Amino acid sequence: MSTCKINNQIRRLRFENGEMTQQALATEVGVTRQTILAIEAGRYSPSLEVAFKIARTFNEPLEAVFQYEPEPA
Amino acid sequence: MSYREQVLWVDALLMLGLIGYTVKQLLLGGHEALFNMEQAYDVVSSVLYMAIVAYVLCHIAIAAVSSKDTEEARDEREQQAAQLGAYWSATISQTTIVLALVQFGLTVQFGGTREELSLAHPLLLLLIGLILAELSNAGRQLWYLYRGV
Repeated sequence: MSTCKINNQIRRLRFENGEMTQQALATEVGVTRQTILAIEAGRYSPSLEVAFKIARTFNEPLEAVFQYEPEPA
Repeated sequence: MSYREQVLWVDALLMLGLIGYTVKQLLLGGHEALFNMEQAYDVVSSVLYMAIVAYVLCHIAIAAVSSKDTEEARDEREQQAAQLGAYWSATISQTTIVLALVQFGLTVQFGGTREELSLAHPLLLLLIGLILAELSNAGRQLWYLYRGV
């Protein structure tokens, strides 16, 4: 069975958007700062709803924020 | 560290302390603590009393220190962690209850001395199972929150 990894550009996008803090993004999206930290570090894959909210916060399409990369077994 | 993570750490440490205290009481009580109902009841009641007092005091202290996010609702990641922790906790609790019932049932079925037929053994088994269930609940949630698996 192959494993998959979801990469994200949240850290880069935060800095490109006025060095937005994790707390500010968390408040905007409606999750805790620790959850934003976990998503950035790739330790947690958010729900579609949270993913869309993050993308909308940065005014970017979902694919510009999250990339799905299947890894061979 | 968020309020919920602090609570989970305190719960885990509290349960480790209670396991240590329970084992110490049982070792000090020896044979009597394992088979005498009054001794077993003393151990169980003292552990439960300590657990309730320590739990309430610790939670008040944490809430006082991190008053900012105590009223925030759990987000989706914390809900998933709580579900995982509850699943492990329920599994251990159910297993312990079944073991206690089987142990008592077997003793009745195959005959035992009067002291072996007391409820002391199942009672202590349930107490330890309850503590282990709470410990696994907090431990599994912390593992999920920090490692994400």
